[in-house]
Amino acid sequence: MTTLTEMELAGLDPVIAARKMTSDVSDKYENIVIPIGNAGESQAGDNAGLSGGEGLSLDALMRLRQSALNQRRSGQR
Amino acid sequence: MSLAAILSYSIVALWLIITLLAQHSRFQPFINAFNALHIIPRWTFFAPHPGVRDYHLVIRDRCNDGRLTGWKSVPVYSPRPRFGYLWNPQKRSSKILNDAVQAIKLLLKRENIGMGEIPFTAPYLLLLYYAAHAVPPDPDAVEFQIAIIESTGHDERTLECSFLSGFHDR
Repeated sequence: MTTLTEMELAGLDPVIAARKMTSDVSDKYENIVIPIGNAGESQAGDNAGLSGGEGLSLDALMRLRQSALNQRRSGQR
Repeated sequence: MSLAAILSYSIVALWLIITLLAQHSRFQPFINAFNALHIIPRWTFFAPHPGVRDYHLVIRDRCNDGRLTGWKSVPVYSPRPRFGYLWNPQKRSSKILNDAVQAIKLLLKRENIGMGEIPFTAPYLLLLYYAAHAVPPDPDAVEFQIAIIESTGHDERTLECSFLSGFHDR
């Protein structure tokens, strides 16, 4: 990961608009998974069973996630 | 040759054989099940698909009058320390961010998890948290948004957006 130049940053809007025009997510890209850490092991349940979240603050997102995970754990007992 | 030597050689030989097998995707699921301690390495950085893309994390704010600021790069790498070739724990943070980007891309490809569910995943929260704290907000900012940009090429880079978040309260 590196940084973009000022000129590249200034020209990002059309790049992002192009993204919105297509439903094709990612990969056509290479299927590179560097097998360190858990990048390749994200589970469907990783989202704690929640959806939405647009407009919420980071704190609220984390609190909701923690609460849902706690509920799930207590439900498993 | 002593019994201890024979045993040691056998363990190392077995380790080598399992390591070689682990490089092949056919054996990976089986070996991964027994590799909780990560003692079996994999070297697939450059094969079969070498990495030709670079990732960039960018952020922008939405102000209280609805105005959007320009995109800003989120700095991921700190300057390399003088003896970084010997000891460079700072590299872990960029590795974690890179993993988070890869994890989001993997999640996007899964059929059982939609765009609406991504914001509650660990990699999303990690990137959001890092970006929000690494780049000072605009004084009038009320919300912010991040995007993952991929670039290819060297002299003239081609940019593509592989992920765009929703807006979140500052």
